[in-house]
Amino acid sequence: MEKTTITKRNIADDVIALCPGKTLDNSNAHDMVDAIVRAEQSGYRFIVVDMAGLEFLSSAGVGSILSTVELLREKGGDIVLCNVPTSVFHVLEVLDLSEYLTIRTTEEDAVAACNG
Amino acid sequence: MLTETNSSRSIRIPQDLSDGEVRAFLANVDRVLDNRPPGIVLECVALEQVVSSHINLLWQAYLACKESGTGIKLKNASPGLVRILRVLDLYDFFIEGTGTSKIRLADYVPEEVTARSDSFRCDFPATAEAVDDALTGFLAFLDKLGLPEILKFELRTVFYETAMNIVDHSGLTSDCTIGFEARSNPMKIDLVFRDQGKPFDLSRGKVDFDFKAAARRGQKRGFGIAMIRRLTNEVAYERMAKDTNVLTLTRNWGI
Repeated sequence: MEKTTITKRNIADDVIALCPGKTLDNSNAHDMVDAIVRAEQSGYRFIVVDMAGLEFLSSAGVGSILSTVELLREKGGDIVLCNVPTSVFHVLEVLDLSEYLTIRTTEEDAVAACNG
Repeated sequence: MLTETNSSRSIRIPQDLSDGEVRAFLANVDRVLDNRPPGIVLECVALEQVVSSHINLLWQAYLACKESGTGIKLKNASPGLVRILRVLDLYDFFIEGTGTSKIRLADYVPEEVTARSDSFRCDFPATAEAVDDALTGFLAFLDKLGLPEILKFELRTVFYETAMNIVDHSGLTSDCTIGFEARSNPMKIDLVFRDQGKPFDLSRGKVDFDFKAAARRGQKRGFGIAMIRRLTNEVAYERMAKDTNVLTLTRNWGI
């Protein structure tokens, strides 16, 4: 698969959106971890991962979220997933992660979740 | 209507909640429990629409199993049923709370899968780029089979995770080759990988790997094998002649 770039979009003072594009796999999972850690170090407490258009999520992609979510939660923040395609949600559900991870339908809902 | 499947420990939950069906279901539960099985499976494939009486029926079966010290598990539970059980905080009783294995993705059998007998073969170098190319060919094969999108997504994941695991951990160099064959029939699909790298028995991976606990530990790697195990029904490993590893991953289409 072609490596897709993680794009960033500032939403609010402490909320940033990251979009992995078509794939979140071994080719760009490390970039996602980097982007999340850098955002946290820059003062963002909440990271919205916009999965619109995501066609494939590998274990490395799952790992990029799992390995960083507690980092945010320890500081009162979170990673909020939105626009999660049905097939990706299905996999997260089977991995018992659909309730552990914060998932919202739309970006608007995700931002609302960040605001409590 | 028959309420028992062809397995003596698997009992079908009826959609029809007439007194006769309910009595027959509960009698089946009692009869199966009389044989002291380690666990029973409640087959939910007939449940097209779930109402509170179905949940009551599930609960009665759970209580009977609890009393006899037997585990209970649901099979072919629709996402809707799982959602209802979760909302009612009952999900863990059937999935995790009684010592039986958790429901895996492989337990969600898509509706009306009618894959035909066909096969696909390719050999590819042990590199990430070559895995991508081989994946493209495999996806074209899955398209030919006419599978539901969600099932294609599962098989794509199994292929990718297995192939990348071999590339990353077998010690093979880029001039080495990985052999792959997919064989489908109306019952199942087998994905067979052959390589001559370090022996590794993927079938030892845990089906019940706790992803949440891994997250709390900040674990960064090691999710792939657990995903493969949850997405397949069987994993078999053999070390053949000429130091060849043969890994066969099976995904059943139906019961």
